[in-house]
Amino acid sequence: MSQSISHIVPEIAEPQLRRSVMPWLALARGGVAIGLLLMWEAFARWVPDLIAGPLPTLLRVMDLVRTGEIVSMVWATTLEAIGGLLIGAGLGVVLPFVVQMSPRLSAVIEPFAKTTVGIPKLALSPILIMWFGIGLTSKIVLVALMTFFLVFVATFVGIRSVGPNLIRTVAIFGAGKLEIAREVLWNSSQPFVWAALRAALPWAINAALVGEFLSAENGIGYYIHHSYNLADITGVYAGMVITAALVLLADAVLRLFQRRALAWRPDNADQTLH
Amino acid sequence: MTCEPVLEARYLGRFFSDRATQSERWIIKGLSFALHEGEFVTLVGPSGSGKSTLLNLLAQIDRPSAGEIRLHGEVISAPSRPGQSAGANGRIGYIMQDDNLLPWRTLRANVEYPLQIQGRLDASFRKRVDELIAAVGLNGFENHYPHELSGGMRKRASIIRTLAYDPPVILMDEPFGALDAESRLHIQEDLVRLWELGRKTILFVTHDITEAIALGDRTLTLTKSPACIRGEHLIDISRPRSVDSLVTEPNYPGIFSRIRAEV
Repeated sequence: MSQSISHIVPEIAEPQLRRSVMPWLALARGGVAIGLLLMWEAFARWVPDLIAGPLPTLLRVMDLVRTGEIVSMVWATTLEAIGGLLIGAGLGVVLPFVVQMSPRLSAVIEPFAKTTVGIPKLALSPILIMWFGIGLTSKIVLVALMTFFLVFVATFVGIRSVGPNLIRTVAIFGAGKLEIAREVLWNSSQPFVWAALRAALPWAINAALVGEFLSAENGIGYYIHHSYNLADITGVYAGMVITAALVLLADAVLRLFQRRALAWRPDNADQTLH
Repeated sequence: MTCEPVLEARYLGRFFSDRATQSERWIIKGLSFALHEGEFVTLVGPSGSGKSTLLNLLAQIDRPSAGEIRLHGEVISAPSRPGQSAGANGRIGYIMQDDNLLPWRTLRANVEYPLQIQGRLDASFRKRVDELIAAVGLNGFENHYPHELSGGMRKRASIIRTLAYDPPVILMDEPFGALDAESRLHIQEDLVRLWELGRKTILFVTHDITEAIALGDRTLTLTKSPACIRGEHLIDISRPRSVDSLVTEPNYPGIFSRIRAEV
């Protein structure tokens, strides 16, 4: 037979259809948004003492923007959430790698890890404030506690999900334990880590808020609690709207990082629901 | 062909403890064979006959319960010896059924990876990687991630990844099992062509008798569990062989039926 062997070079898998720009979707979402706003308005008119309407809430938010108050309160909450997330998620990502190095340590720790997941961390917040004071530190610790377990468990599962044949293949190339952890376990666990980070983010912001409810000098939670004490329902609602906006914004930023870190995955594989 | 085999198994055995009956179940027992320099040997056995167990032993992923494995005459694996590192320090390559490409590395980065961790990725090896990529028609896809490639392309990539770091012995465990007939044919021809260029020593496990005849210089057959070598068949069909017109070779039916009778 001749040496010229024709190759079949199959085409690359067709790119996934982008479904972001679809007119009907935008219309449907707009419709739902208007419906929700109308419901909000209706309830506000029904019990005006307990619910502030959309318009007064919006005006209050704009007020806060105009006076610049919003900057310091969002800044304080963001700092607490990010600081706590960095510590909590950082430990949550690193510790599973330490633990998996020894199957014995893994086995010893597992039941304790499961138990601590069950502890209601928010219930610890008064104690944390006693320990760490009413400043930033106590909130950062609370956020770190809240997010650590989410990320720890997800990373642990991610490491365990790695196929044994992938590890064997790399070992046969001559990779030692450390190289396998660095190359195979680390990269394989990334989709899990990012999904956990995005799930942990709203928890981080909410934990910061709870900390601020209890005692604080600044932050969105402080503003909500303060307004509540003054029977200023509009202020409470403005605080909630700002929080929701902050969560959305932070999630969008995180998704950007996620896309970058997981560029090697197929387009449709990185959708995360929470 | 030198007298000393490249890879040799002597009375190799492996048992697993059966918890229910508190007994030892031998998957492989008293298995002996030798691979000589530059030989392409195919191994056929009934499913569940311990083919993968055998390859895991040879690849140093698993340790034998009895017997020994020699590489260039040196005992690298025996029950009494401390285990070698998997792949015997890059001297035994193992291409499994799944392509096992690293999904976060591009095709090129995957092929270079073994060389990179072995600290051998220099200009000459980079050139070798280029040549291998071109030899299997993957040029133009170097920067694609595995999920962007077809099954056949991934398989080619996984084969040249092992060829690139040039282990003296390559084990293959039904590597083309999951491919469709068309890509399978082409990749079989690619493999034979690559082998003829470099003359590696290859042990290729399959359950497809035609594939075993098409690729091998010799075909070994296995007995049912516990496995040992049942028969040995010289494939006296001249190379280069055309895989898709193999059935027209005068010697083919005889070899096929003799192997068929044993598995």
